[in-house]
Amino acid sequence: MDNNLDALKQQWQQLSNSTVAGVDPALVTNRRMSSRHGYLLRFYRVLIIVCLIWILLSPLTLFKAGLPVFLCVTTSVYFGVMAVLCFITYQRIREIDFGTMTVVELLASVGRVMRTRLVSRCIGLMLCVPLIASLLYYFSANKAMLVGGISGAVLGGILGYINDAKIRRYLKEIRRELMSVEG
Amino acid sequence: MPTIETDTSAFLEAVNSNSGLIYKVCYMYAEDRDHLKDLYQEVMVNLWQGFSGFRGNSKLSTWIYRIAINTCVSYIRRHGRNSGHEPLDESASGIVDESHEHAAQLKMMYEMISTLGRIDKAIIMLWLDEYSYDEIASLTGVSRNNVASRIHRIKQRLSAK
Repeated sequence: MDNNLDALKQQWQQLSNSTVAGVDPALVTNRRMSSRHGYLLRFYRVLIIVCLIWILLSPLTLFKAGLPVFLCVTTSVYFGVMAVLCFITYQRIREIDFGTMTVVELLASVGRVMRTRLVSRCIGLMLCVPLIASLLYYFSANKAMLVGGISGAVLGGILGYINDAKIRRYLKEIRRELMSVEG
Repeated sequence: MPTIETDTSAFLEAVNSNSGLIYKVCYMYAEDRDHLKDLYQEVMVNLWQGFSGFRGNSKLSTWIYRIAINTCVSYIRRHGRNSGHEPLDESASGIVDESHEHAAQLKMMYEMISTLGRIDKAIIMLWLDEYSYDEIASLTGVSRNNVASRIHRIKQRLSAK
């Protein structure tokens, strides 16, 4: 039995020149290539900027469309809250450092990012559902807008639910791994 | 002052001399060929992005090992396991020398290792590369005693094959 373990060790250490076909290390130095981590950072930076823009743009647009003032203000506040939540998520993602963290620290950090994303989505959902309902109520005179608005909301909800399910599964796995370390 | 060209050539030299190490780590965490390629690429990008920050506080191979393991451990696949991708089973011959007298047992051991949790995989890989328990504890963040008991448990399972 120990012979097999020794053979495993020996062969494992002898692997030296294997590479993966189709991945050229030289291309990686091209600035356009980005890791998932880098992509997420950019994604949230853009999201924060978009939310900040819509804090100002949404009340102007909606007021011009003849919607009541309270709805214009509420929409602006909604984007303000989302900008804050996106910023918090962005900061959590920035904390991840593949070069210095231990495996356990990294898993805990990734778990924090995932939880923050889920909580942000829940808060966003709780705020945007009544907001969208109010907007649709005021737009209901236009059937095309009403149908478009409802379709968009339903599709967005389904896609968001599927994505959330994936994040929850991953969180469960991380939690199990981290609990095994503590135990 | 180092130029981008200097960094690039130093990076490529570092990666090429440790390509086997990176491949081994990615292979252990990959579910199929596409996943292996995704992981390998992700590790490469993370290595490049962190390369300028490497201060030589540890051995280069240890630093590369850390980034490779951390990348693979935290990677979430976009698509599910059964989406028609080529499995890695056949490619086990790429990691197991078929002419080896224990080839069949080695393959079973690799399959068993592939069923371990993310942290256990990292620990057993480091053990196979003869890192000390203290070094394994330092890289993984698991206490030394916990490392020892996990390795003991995994060795028992491997020996049973």
